[in-house]
Amino acid sequence: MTKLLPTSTAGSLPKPSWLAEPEKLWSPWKLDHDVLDEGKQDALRVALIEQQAAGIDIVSDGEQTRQHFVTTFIEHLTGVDFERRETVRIRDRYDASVPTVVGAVSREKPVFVEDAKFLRKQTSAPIKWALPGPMTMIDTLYDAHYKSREKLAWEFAGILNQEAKELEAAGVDIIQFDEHAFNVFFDQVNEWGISTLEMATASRPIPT
Amino acid sequence: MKKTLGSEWRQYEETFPKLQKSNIDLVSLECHNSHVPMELIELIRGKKVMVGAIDVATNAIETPQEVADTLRKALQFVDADKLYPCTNCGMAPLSRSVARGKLNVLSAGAEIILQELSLLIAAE
Repeated sequence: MTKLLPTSTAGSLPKPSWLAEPEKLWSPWKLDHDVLDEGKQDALRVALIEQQAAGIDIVSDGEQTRQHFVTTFIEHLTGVDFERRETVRIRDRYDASVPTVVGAVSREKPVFVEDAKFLRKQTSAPIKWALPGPMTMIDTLYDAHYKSREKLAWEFAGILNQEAKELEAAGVDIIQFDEHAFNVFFDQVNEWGISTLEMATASRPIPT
Repeated sequence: MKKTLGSEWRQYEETFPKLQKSNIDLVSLECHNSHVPMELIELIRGKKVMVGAIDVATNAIETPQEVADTLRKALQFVDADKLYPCTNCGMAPLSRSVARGKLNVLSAGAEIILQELSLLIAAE
């Protein structure tokens, strides 16, 4: 990047009111099926224009195609049952009813790659794409399969790495991993948090 | 030389050096209205840093000067070519007009610092 102090946002932008009710987390979609897909793409165009009009240098999708920054990614994976809920404590701060890991987790197809290709077509500006980090992902689930936070984090790191590589190939310049849990579980950050994040980010194998 | 910032921040003092040695090249941190002291950025010296200069937990739109103040302070700990002005977090919970205002002011604040840096370079 040649420009000094390139501006960007850390994540989401509000959605248009015709797509989902604004100022609300987990806001349900107001459209269905093909119309929803079209609506998401239109919202993505608007988010891009808003960023460019404000002079933002590194643009993003504003997370217009996601309901939630962690859950929408996990919904696309196998091994997680969204019908089976358990109450767990999230980031050591609040209790929530969360989905259950019931088997081996895997990503059978790309999650955001088509959205990223779409954004790439709309602009030549540098693009940043946000993904949840492994520790933040495991912290929003009840694990009935691996029964180990670290084991599940390594599995997610591998999955995130596949997604990150394909996003890069689709023309994404910066991939951002959101690790909100890093401010909470300091011991685990040192034990395996940073190592799993390194695995998720690595474009090539990490030298050992 | 490593300063001690007190027990409150000792946990960051243990994780940041490990982050500094990792292969992660860009680190995003909440700075404006954050309770965490900005001095901690010193512990990841060498990394690119996304400096959060916009508070997403309030509808009050920062002034360009407030954004510039946060960035100016961060420049004590991050080299100019590694500083990425940014928001603290996502803006989905805000109204569209507030989010738009905050995007504009982020650019305006960064512009103030760019001007100051170019004056510095011109003076050398």
